[in-house]
Formats: sequence, C-alpha cells, structure tokens
Amino acid sequence: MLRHTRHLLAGALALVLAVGSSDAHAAKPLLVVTTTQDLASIAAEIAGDRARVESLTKGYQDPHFVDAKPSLLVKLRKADLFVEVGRDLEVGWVPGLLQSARNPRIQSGGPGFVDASAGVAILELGAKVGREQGDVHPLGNPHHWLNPANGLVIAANIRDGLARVAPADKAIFDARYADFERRLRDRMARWKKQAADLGLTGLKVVTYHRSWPYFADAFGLQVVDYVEPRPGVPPAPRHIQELTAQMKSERIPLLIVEPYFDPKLPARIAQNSGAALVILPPSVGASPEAKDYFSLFDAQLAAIRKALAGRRNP
Amino acid sequence: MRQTLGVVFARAALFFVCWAACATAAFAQTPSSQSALPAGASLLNPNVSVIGWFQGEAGDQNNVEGSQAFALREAELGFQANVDPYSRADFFIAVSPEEGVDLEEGTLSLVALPWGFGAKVGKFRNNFGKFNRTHPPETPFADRPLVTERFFGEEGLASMGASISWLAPLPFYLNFDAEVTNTPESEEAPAFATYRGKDLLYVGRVSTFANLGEAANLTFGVSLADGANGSAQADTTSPVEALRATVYGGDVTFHWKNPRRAIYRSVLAQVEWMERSAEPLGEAEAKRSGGFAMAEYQFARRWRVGGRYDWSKSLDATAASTATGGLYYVTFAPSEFSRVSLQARTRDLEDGTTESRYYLKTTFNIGPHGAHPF
Repeated sequence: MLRHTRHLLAGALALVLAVGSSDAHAAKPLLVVTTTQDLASIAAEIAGDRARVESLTKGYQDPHFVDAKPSLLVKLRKADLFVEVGRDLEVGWVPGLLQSARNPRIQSGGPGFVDASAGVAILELGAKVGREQGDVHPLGNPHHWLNPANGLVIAANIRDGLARVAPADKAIFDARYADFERRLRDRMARWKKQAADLGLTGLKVVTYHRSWPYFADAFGLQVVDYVEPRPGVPPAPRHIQELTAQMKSERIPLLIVEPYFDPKLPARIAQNSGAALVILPPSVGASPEAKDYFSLFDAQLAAIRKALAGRRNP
Repeated sequence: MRQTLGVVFARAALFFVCWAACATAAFAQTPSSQSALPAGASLLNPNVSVIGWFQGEAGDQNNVEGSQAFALREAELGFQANVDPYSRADFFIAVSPEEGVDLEEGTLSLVALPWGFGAKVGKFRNNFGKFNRTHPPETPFADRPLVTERFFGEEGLASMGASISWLAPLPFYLNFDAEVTNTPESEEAPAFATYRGKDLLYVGRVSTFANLGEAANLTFGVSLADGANGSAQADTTSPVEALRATVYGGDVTFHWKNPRRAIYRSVLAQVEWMERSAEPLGEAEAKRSGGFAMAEYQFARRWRVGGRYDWSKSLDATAASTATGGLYYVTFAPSEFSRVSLQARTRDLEDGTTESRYYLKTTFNIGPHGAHPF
C-alpha cells in the first residue's frame, strides 16, 4: 500500500510540474477582475480593448453577502489586475478568495491589486465602532461609488493599476482616463441640475440600509433614518412604529430600498406613512436600465422622479 | 523508511525552491499606493478573534463520568496576519476545561508561489473530505457525525506536517491537495496508530465544483489518507516496516441560494462516505465503512432547520453490524456573529442499545469580521 501511495504521489507531482510550467500567463489582452459591476464598468472605460473585464458579482447581489464559490477562484487565478471596492465591503468573501487564488500578482500590496477606495473622501469615518451597532464597517462607509465624483477617483486608481501591470500602454490608459473624466464631469453637471429640478436639495429621505450617504451627498438629499439602523440586525417592531410615525408627521416623501432586501416591510412602512417607496439600483446591473456607470445615475434619478410623482403625501 | 524520508526531503526541497523563486520574482514592482488609514503600530498586530462555544447537554449519557449538564466546550482564539509579502500565519488555539490549551491549527501558508501552487507547513486539519476542515465550533452540529468520530476522533483528523496544493489552469475548478504529516496517535484518530514516532500520514484530495445555474452549485471531492496502523510485520531480519491503514472517502455538497435574496433563504445538503482498510497482521481484517448525509434549510433570515443521518461500522473487527443515528436541529442566529441551536440526537448502536441526547449549542464570535463559510 505504501509503495502504491508513493508512486501515486510521485506521478501526481510530475503531472503538476509538467502542466504547471506550461501555464503561460500575461497573454494579451489583460484580464481585469473586479468585485462589482460598477468597478467593471469603470475599468472597461479606462482599459478599452487592452483588457477583458469581468465582475465577480452581479449588481443585484448584496455585495456584503457573496458566496466565495470556487468558480470565482478560477477567474482570480488568471487575473492580471484585481479591483475591490474596499473599506471592508467585501471582507466576508474577498480575503479568503485572494488567499486561495494562487495568484501572487493580485495579493493586497501586489502590483495587480487595486483598492478602489484609495484617496476617496470616506464618510462615517471615526464613528463609534462596536458590534452592538450591528455589522458596522470600522474603515468608514464603503458605498463610495454612489457619488459620481468618486467615480473619478476610482477610475484614477484603476488607471494607475493598469499602468503598473501594463506599463507599455500607460499613454492609452491616461488618454482614456482623460476622456472618461471629461464625459463624467459633463454628465455630473447635468445630473446635479436634474436633481435640483426634482427638488432633491434638502429633501428628507429614509433608506433601508446605510448604502446611500454618498449618493445623498452628491444630490443634496438628507437621510434622516434607516429601516435597519444597525446593519445586519433586523429592526425591532418598536423602531418600525416610531419610524412610521416620524415619516408621517414630518411628511418624509421618499423611502429608498436596495433591491436585494425583501420589500414587504418597507412597502408596509410606505403604505402607513404615505411616503413613496422606491427600489433604487445601487449598482450597475441592479436593474435593466443601469447598464453602465453613466446609466446607473440616469436610472436612479428616473426612478426617484417616477416615485415622487406617484406619492400620496405631497 | 529510508524511501519515505526521501520523499519528504524531495518535497521539502521543492517547497523551498518555489518559495525562494517567488520571493525574488513576484514583487519586483512598486507596491500599490494604499489608502491613508490611521497610522499606528497596533495596525500591525495580528487580527485577534475569539469564538466561544457554550453547550448544554441532557439525555441518556448524563451518568457518564465527566459528563456535565453545562460546559464551555471550547474558546477558540484566532491570531491571523501576513508575515511578509510571501506568506501568512494563522494560529487557532482551543482552550477548554477538559482539554486545557491545545494548538488546534498553526500554519505558515505561502501565498506567492508560481504556477497555481499553494503550500503550508505546521499543524493543520487534514484536507480529508469536506467536513473535516471545519473547526468544531463552526459546524452546524453540537456533536460530530458518527463515522468521523469513529475514524478520526472527537476533534477530527489534524496533524503536523506540510501540505502542497495546486489549482489546475482550467476553465473550471479542479484542485489537488497532497499532505505529508505525522501519523496521529490512535487516541486522537482511531483509524490510525503510530508504530514508531516517525510513521507518516499521506493525505491526498481532488475536488471540483460545478455551477448549476446562478443559484445552485455542486462540489465533489475524493480523498485518501494512508498512515501507520500501529503494528508491524513480525520480521526481524530486515528493517521493520510498519503496517498501513488506508481510508478512502468521497463527498458531494449541494448549495442553493438565490443571489437576489441572499440573506433570506438557502439550502445546503451534503453526503460524505469513507472506508478504511488496513494491512492485516495475521488473519485478514474486514473493511470498515460509514458515512453521513445532512440537509439544512434556511427558511427565514435568522432561522435554519436541519437534519443528519449517520451510519457507521465500528473499527473494532469483531462488531459486524452497522450503527445508525439521526440528529435534528433548529438554529436561530440573532446576527451574523452569534447563533443558538437546539438539537436532538438518537443512536442505534451495534449492541442493540439506543441512546438519546439533547443539546443546546451556543456559539458567538468577537473580533474582526471573519469569512462567511461556504
């Protein structure tokens, strides 16, 4: 038996070495793997035809709760560049995947690793942190891509990452970034005008999860409370009663819910308070209209316009 | 024995060549600029976490010596950090009133090896089957499946040594693991027994994975563990070669979870089977096999129900029939960081006796956010 096992092991080792050494990498174009479709959309803008871009998740998934499926390892193993949202958004599934990806290039600190949040003005930093507050993020609120101004910082991080792994194409990435910046700034001016026309400046809203502070910052909304004030801990009935009463008395017109939460409870709150319920796509791919980083904000503003038009407590 | 050592040395040499190669090549570029975080030496401390496992037990076995109604089964302390750009260290120390302080796992893993290789050295839970790798507080069960208890003991198969794994460069997941460790003592893992201190245990595993659409998937694995069986050929003329015991195993795991509603509903089902055969000393020894099948349904955001069916032969060659058992549970998780589970177990043993037990398993976890299990 022992000899048999030894032969088996030696054979396996020989096979491993033979196939392993023929595994050529860095074949063009680059493979960029991102955690979310938002990052994939921005990466595709910057990389153009120099890279194939794949996202590990779909926009309709809750990025906190993604199964670390072995099939994701297959993508990561070959990746030249890996981009994450950062700030612990993906802490439940990305660290384990990276550790098992057998790809030294994309480990944290490696040339092919991009933390998209680097240099972003992070909100809710330094807030009281403790699990009695629920599943809070000690590194600040991670939903930073929801302010289009941060899209520029994310794009710059991706541009720098691409230039690290493909220095020969740096000029291409710089030019594409400049073009992206021009187009995004142009659209941002239009979105801000649309938001102001919709009356979003100073408008009080309630949101389900703490996903929207950056969006609120960008378009002037004022988030006054949450359906789930402690992330990851289902709300107590008393909180729901108080919230409904507050929304009614303050005539709060809008209740924003992410598409991956069960809408039954928010629908009841909206019904009882007279607010309009809007299921807002938080990411590219979360609704059919949110096809890329530009149409994401178009889709969000369109959804809010529609919801406000139909509300019952104006 | 000489040949065995040869294999180990060849393996160790390959290991260090790969390590040296990756250390010089992989990180020649400038590291990426990291976001500005609050500075301080404490940021270099390893991640520290504690998992507490408190358990209440009732049932037929309450008169067994040492069995108490309530027990802190285990406090598992985790210390995890990158050592340098090439490796990371993970230590899990189990503290319990019965076992004292025990190094459950302590490994140095190489994360920067080329060509899809991974490697680790230290003490670790052997990569045999799917269930064995899970730390006891984190399994859904208050006990362990009968077959794993009989083959690999109360704590599962864990030993000191080295492991190398390889993720094949294919469009689907296909992973190979090979481990060389000490053969554990029979009190720890009854399927094996050391004849001499240097007897080795070889473990191999091949696993693959298939998505069945977006929500469902299947994981398959086959495993082999070959170690000393505690006896040797009674041949005094040549160097004594310890006799071996081999355990083969197979496992299938099914997951279902709608990614659009990930936190509300899920299904997990798993079947694991294993068979042990040992080189006979004197008369022929029968093959011993067993397995378990479990299913768990998450029917609400914080609630799960599950059950497990066990069957296993005894490793004792004189017992011919098969013992069976069942475990049923309902688990409530107030948050992602704690859970309470009420469990009932029955077992029909070979000698015709039936036992029933009831458990209240409470586990909780403090420290940085750990990985979600898959």
